[in-house]
Amino acid sequence: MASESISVTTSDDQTIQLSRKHAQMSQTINSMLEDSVGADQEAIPLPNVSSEVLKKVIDWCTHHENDPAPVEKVKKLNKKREYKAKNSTISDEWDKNFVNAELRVIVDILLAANYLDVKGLFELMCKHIANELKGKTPDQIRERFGIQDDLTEEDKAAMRKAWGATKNDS
Amino acid sequence: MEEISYTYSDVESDDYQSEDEDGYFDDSRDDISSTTTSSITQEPIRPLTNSLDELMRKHLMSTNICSAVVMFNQKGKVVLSLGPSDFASSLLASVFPDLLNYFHSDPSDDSRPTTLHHLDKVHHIFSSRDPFSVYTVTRRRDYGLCGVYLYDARLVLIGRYNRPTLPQLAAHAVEAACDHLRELQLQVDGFHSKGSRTHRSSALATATWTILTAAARDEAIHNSQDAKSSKSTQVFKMMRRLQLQVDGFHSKGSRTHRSSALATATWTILTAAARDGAIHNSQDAKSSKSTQVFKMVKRILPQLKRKSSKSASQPPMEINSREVQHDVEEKEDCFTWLPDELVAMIISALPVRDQLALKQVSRNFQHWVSVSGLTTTQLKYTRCWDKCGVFFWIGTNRYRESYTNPADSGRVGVSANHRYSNIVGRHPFWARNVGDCPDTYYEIDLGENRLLCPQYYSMTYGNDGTGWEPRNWKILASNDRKEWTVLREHKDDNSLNGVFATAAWKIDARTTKSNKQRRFSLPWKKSLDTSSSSQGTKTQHLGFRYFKLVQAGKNKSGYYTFFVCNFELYGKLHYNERRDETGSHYEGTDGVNTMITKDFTVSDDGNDNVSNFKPISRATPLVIVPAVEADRQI
Repeated sequence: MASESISVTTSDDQTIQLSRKHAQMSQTINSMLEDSVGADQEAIPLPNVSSEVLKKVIDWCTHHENDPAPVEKVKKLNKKREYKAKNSTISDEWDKNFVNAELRVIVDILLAANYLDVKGLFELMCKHIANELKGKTPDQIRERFGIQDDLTEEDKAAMRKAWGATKNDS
Repeated sequence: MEEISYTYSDVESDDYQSEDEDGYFDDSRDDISSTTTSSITQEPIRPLTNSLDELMRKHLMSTNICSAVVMFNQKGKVVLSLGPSDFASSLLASVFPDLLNYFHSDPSDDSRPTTLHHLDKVHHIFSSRDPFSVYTVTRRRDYGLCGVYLYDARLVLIGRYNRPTLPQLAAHAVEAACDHLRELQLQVDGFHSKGSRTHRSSALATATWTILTAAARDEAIHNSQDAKSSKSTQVFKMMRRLQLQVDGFHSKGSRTHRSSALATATWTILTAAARDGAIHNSQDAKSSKSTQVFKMVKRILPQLKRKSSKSASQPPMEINSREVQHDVEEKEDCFTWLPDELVAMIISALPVRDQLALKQVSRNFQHWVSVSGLTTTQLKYTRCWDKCGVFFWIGTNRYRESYTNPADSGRVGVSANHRYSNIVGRHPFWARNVGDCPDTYYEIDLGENRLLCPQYYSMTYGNDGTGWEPRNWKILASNDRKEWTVLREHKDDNSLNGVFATAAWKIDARTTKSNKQRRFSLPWKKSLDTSSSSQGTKTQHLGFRYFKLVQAGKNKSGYYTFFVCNFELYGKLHYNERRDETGSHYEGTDGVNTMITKDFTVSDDGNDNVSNFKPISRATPLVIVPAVEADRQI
C-alpha cells in the first residue's frame, strides 16, 4: 500500500514530494501517516512549515537518513524532552555547515523541527543556539543577535541588589 | 507639542529636494492607507475620528494593504488604536489569538484569516510586565496566492511611565495626535482637489504615522521629566529628512514610488521612535547611547537604498513584507519567534554563569531566564554548625530530604592532593591520611548549575587531639580552575583551638583581592567575565563555582599537616531549579568527581601517585554522624 513518496502541503501552498523514509523521521508526519493508512493519496497539510524551511529539513534528513535511531532511556520516555548541555560541541562536519546560517533561518528550522518532531534536528538546533549564547557577555549577545537593551536602570539596580553585587568597585 | 508643530511647519515651508533618485524604492507595496480612530472617549476628538473613519472605510475596499496601530496597557486593554476601528481589533485577534482572548474578541471571528503569518513569533511578547506596548499590524493581499491575505504584526514600542492614570496619559497622547491631524487634514483636502485616490491615502498614511510617532514621543517625554532636548531634536531632524524625501517623491508623481517611500519612511520613523522611547525611559541614559541609535538609523538608510535599487528589477510580487522588515531592522530579534518554553529550555541547559549574563541582555531574556528556573537564594550565616550553609542545603536537596553528605551523593565534587578529601561532611572527623605536605589543599566544585557569591565560611579543626590546629591557610575561589581569587588569607590565625574547634570567618567582597590584585566582586559596568579575559582587563565575578582551601604555612606545632573538616560556605547562591531537580548534570558516570580529578597533575607529594587521585569521596568509607549528634558535640 505504501507508495514510495509522500506529498505534503506547506504553509505557502506548495506541494512537496518527499520519500517515505524521510517523512517517517518526523514523528508528526509518521503518526499522521499511521492515522490515515487507507487514504495516502492526499497531501498532508503542514500549516506551520514553509516550503523554504521544509527543504532545509529534508536536506538534513537526507544526510542523516542512515543514522541509528536515537536510543532513548526507558525512564526518560515519560518525561519531557530534555536537552543537555553536555557534549554541546557539534561533531559532524556536515552539521557544522548546516547550522552556519542566519539566525532567523536557524530559528525557523528549530520551530519546524519542533513541530515535525524530528528529534535529531531539534537537538542540533538547540545545541547550536545554546553554543551561540554560551560564554558571552550581555553586550556581546546584544550585538550578535541585534537585541535592544530595553532594561532600565531601575531594573539593573534591582538585579544588582538581588545578586548582592557591589557597585563601582572598579 | 510645540516641537511637533515646529517640525511639521518646517517641512511645509522647506522646498528641499530629495537626494534620492527614481528607482530608489521598489513597489512591493502597492498602496498604504490608514486612518485613525480612538477607543477613548474624549469629547473633542470624537467628530474628527469619526469623519476619518468614514474616509477610511471608503478606501478600505480598494486598497491592498491596511495597517493599524494598537497600544495596550498593562492589563491588556486597548488604550490607543490607530487604523480602522473594527479592522484593528479583528486583525489583531487573528494575528494574536492568545493575546486577544485575554480581554475581549471572539476567536471565531469571520476575519480570522485562513493563513497565519508567523503566528508564533510575536504572541508571547505581550506580557503583564510591560506597562504598555504598541503593535502595528498589517494586512496585505498576496497576489501570488489569489486573494489570500497575509498578516504581519510587530511590536514597535514597549515602555513604562509613571503617570498617575493611564486614561489621562493616553488621552493626552491622542489629543496631541489629533491636533496634528487637523493640520494634516488640510493637506488631505488639498489632495482631494487633485482627485487622485492614492494621493489622499498616502497623505493619510503620513498622517497616521506622524501621529503614531507623536504619540510615542509624547509618552516618552512624559516618562522622563528630565529628558534632554538634544536627543529629541535629533530624532526630529531625522524625521524631517524622511518627510522631505517623501515630499520629493510626491512631486515626482509616480504612484508606486510614493507609497513605497512612505512605507520605508514609516518603518524608519517607527524604529527611531521606538528607540527614542526606550532612551527616554531610562532616566539617566547617557548621550552616547543616543549617538549609537542615530548611527544605527543613518546606517539603515543607505542600506535601504541599496536594497531597493537591487530589487527594483525583480517582479514586485516576490518581495514580501517580511523581507522589507528585515532590511529596516537589520538584525531582527529572532528569539521572539520562538515559544517561551523552547527558549527557556535552551537557556536552562546553559551553565548558571551564562544564564546570569543572559538575564542582563534585555527584558525578554530576563523573562525567559526566570522561566528557565534560575533562582537566587540567600544562605545566611547564623552560627557554627548551623543548618544554613550551602553544603547542608545541597546535602538535603534544598531542605527536602534528610541530610546526606553531598560529596558522597555526588552533588558536589571534592578533591584534594592527598587521600582524604571529603571535607564537606557535617561531622567532626579525624582527617586521617593527611600527610606532612606544605601545599596541602582541598578543592570543591559546586557544579555548573550553581554559583556562589560567598559571604561567610566556617570550618572545624579535624583532629581529636590538640596541637595540630591550622594557623596559616588561604581560601581561594575560581570559575575556571586556572585563575584563582584569594577570598581570605589567614596568617597566624588563632581562632581554632582545641579538639574539633570550629570557627567562622567573614569574606568581605570589598577587601579581598585576587592574586592579580583584582577585586572579585562585581563592578557592575562590566559584566560577567568570559573566562578568556585577556591579561590586564579586569575580571568580575558574580560568584564562583570552585573553592579551594590551601595550606599557607605550618600548623600550631610546626608541621605541615592540615587537618580540617566540616567546611561550610554561606552567601548568595544562584542555581537553576529545573536542572537541580532532574539532577541531570550529575547523572551518569562522568560526574563532577571524575571530571575534577582526572586532569590533576601529580604534585610533589612524595609517595602518592596518580592512582590516588580517584574520587575519594566515594572510595573512603565514612561514618555519618547524624546532624543532631553533631550539633550536640559543640
